[in-house]
Amino acid sequence: MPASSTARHAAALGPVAAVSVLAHVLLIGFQGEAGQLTLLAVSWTIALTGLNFVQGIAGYPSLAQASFFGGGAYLSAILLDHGLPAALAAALAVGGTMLAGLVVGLVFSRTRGQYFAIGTMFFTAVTTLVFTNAADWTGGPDGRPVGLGFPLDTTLLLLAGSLGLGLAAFHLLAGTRFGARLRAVREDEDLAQHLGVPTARVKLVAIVVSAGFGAWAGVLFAQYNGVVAPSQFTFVQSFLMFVAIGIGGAGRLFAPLVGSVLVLGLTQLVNFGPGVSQIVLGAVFIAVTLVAPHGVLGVLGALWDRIRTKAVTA
Amino acid sequence: MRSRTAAALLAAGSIALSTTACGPGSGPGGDDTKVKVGAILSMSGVYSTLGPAEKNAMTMGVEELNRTGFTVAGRKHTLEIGYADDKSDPATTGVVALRDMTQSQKLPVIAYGLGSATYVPQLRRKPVPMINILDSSYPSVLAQDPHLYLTRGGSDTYVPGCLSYTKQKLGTKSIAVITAKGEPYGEGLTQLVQKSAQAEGVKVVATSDYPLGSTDYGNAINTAVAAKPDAVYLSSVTGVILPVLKQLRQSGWTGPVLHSSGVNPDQARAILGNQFNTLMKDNYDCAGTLPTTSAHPATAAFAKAYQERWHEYPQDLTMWAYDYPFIVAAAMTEAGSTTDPVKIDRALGAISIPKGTVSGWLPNPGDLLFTDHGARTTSEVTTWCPATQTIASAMTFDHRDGAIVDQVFAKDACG
Amino acid sequence: MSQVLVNGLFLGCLFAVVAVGLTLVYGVMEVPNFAHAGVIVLAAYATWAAGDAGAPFALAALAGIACGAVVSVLTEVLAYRWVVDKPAASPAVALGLLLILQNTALRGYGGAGRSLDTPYDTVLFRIGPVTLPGVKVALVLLAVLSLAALHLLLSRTSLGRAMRAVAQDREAAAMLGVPIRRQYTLAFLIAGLLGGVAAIAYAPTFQVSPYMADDVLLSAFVVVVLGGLGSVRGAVTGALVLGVAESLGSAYVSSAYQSAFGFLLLVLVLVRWPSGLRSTDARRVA
Repeated sequence: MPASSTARHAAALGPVAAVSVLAHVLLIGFQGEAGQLTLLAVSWTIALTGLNFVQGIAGYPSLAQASFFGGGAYLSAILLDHGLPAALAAALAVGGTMLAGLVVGLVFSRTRGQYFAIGTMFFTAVTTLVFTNAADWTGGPDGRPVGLGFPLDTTLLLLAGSLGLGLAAFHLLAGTRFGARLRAVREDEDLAQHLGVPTARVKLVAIVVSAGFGAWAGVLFAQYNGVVAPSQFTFVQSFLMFVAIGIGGAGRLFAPLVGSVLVLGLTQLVNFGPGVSQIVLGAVFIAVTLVAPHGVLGVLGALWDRIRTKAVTA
Repeated sequence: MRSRTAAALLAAGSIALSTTACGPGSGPGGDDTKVKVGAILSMSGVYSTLGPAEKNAMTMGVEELNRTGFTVAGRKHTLEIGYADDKSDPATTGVVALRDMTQSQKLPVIAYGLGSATYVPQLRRKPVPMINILDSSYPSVLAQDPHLYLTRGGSDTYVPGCLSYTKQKLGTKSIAVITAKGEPYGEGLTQLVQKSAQAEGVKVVATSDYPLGSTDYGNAINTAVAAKPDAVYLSSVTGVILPVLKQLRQSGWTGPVLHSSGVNPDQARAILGNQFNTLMKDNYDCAGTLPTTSAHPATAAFAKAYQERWHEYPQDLTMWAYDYPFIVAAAMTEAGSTTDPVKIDRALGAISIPKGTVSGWLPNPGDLLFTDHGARTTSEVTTWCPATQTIASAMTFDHRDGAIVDQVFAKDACG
Repeated sequence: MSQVLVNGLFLGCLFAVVAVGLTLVYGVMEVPNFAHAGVIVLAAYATWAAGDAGAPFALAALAGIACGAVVSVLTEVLAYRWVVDKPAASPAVALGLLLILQNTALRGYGGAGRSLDTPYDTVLFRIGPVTLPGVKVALVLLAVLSLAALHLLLSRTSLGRAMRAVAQDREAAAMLGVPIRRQYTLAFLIAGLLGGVAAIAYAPTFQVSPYMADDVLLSAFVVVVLGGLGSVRGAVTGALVLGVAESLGSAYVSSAYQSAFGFLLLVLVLVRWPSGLRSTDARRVA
């Protein structure tokens, strides 16, 4: 048993380490447009790894992730401006956003399905209002520059490292009792509650964790980009993040990575003209929801299983 | 799909690397008489009224400059502009374009319109001179970073004209101001209106605002109209104030409306719809001198050429955009380099008004184009003429040390 | 003060027309129809395009309403119908549709705003200190007329009775021989018509743009939750309450945070009643 569990961990964590190293190579190698795409893919993967707990494992449609992403970015920029050392500013930004996540969780973790989606969507709409209108802190609709707290090399290292560590943390946490309880919420929430699973508390913890991942990704994004603006954290962004997890394969380890790369690739790389890539994305997303509810990774996994069974029986 | 995306990334990266390797000024290639510089413009999005016109004008300017070319360190050169669209969102799209232009393509000078503050951190990492051909926001964008240059006077040079003109010609004693909250240009205008109202002895009887992007200005308009002012001033750019103007007229306001947005007839028709001529009645716009109303022969000739070529009304920014290639050429000649941003930056502060330009700049002391990184332009008040469905100059003026000077009134603006 | 209340009434009427369409669809099919914003946008563009092509306003408005109805029914036939047994998938499908519809408008007409002209643009009524612009009076009239028509349809016709039966208990209604699928289509048809009405009622005061309905949709969802998912009467009451609340907040606290006051109400309701103000079954869709 321990041997197989070690093998299982190695099978997951090996690729995680490889992805992390590859991310670092790409971040260093690319500049301009390609660099931006790499930056977005890496920071989104970090943020979405958090969302993968709530939306992925527990099956709750959270549309708050862009708020948390933005919260980390804006808070760290504001704190850096007040002369705090970069590490402290980053830590406080993540902490502050997790606190906001706690409030969101307290209000909405008792609600179900549709209400949860509507509530978290509205939360993102309100944070966008704040980013846009509290101009003294946020710089208003055109955004604000970010003081460069870390040297660029350090930021790149942190981005690539956090990608790997985040995925590893997800893999390990998903295997604990916490992960099992989240899965129970997804399967049948009423039954889980009946059997003594503190469902509201489990969801609350998941939301706070997702806020932490989102905020840290936001801090790093802001450091690389040098400027943050409300348009980067609207509910459309929240929704695209939600789509990314769905397309990738909700709850699967690499769903954030695959989903981010597909969504960003489709919106940034392919230039069909304004709007068209989003139309395609909407259609792809609906098709995935209807035809392959376990996402791209689910389809690939099923194919792999079939090939393996054939190989074994042959 | 994943591997294909990775392949695309790798391909994009290798293109970036190869352009770096074969960029301007490296190696004995036959292409190094052609110099490439950048321009980040708002080709799409909320400010898409600006970018395409700027690009049109720059195209004309480059063609004109390249007719003779320009000489740097004894060699003839021609100019090429690489364009990027900031999608009216400098913080997201513009800054990526800037990184691409300065780090990957190593372009030595960039022209741009909006978003000065958002470019500052990237300029710290990789300094290049950036020439602003549009943004007259108050306080000046020039305070943001020492690598920025501005080809026109700030709002503080033209807003006082509004108050001065309406007080003298319309007998305005009180004014209400409606501001687009969160839009820096508009917020700066409101500050300036309050200042110059005080200087002119005009009373500001109400100030109200609405958030940028809101759909209903009812409350802001009610507050302004309820104070019974002699005139209403709308603070912001064309695309933002025209919908407010429409609702203001719908709410029954028939008095004068002042603004500093540079609305032209094409825009009024497009944004206000069929009733634009009625809605634009009694409108006064104080801003920089326009190509069409300018008395300068070179400027007027440019306005005519622009209109003939592109079949649209030339906005004020078209003159500054047209002159961008000439500024770059003069600075490179002065610097003796087509590639070194530091030398070109220093040269920009030393050039006089370049030959061939059409903006009609006023020379700074020492005959320089830029003093403290800013160029000087004259200003005017224009008024809407319902009979001809267009705008006409009502007053031209200059601004010196906080006072309006050289006022010239048109005898009968609308003819 | 009275002007602020009147502004609140205008807002409330707009929210009511949008929210009733949402709650009807929810009541029958249990779908949070985020794509409704896209329906409104396309209806507004259809009106604008017809007017731009020279059609008189009344005709253009009818074209817009018809376009809203067609698009709304299409979303049901092509997408929602296939997830009716998977409630967890419906928010995802709704958001996918919203992406498609909004970006279709962006692709077709560009991001710049268009102005919608009406014959009553310059009409103005004055009652004491209160001014009533023609476009807003038209908004109230359109809202009242369309909601009254809906009320008659639901309470007086066999179609309406069937729809209420489906909303109360889908399985029982199916067993009694009510054609369920037709009810789904009918709900989306009515929602689309109302979306079209909302578009022509409120587009003239602002510009037609791909994102014109985002704020209204969010507020309408608050209304739906306030009124109880699926309750038409609740939606109308909730809309008026929210309209006045947002108008008061906007006038006396901060206009920038107008829709945030709706969020505050939503939070208060959800903290007290986590599953919303669910109306009794008898009153659903009535």
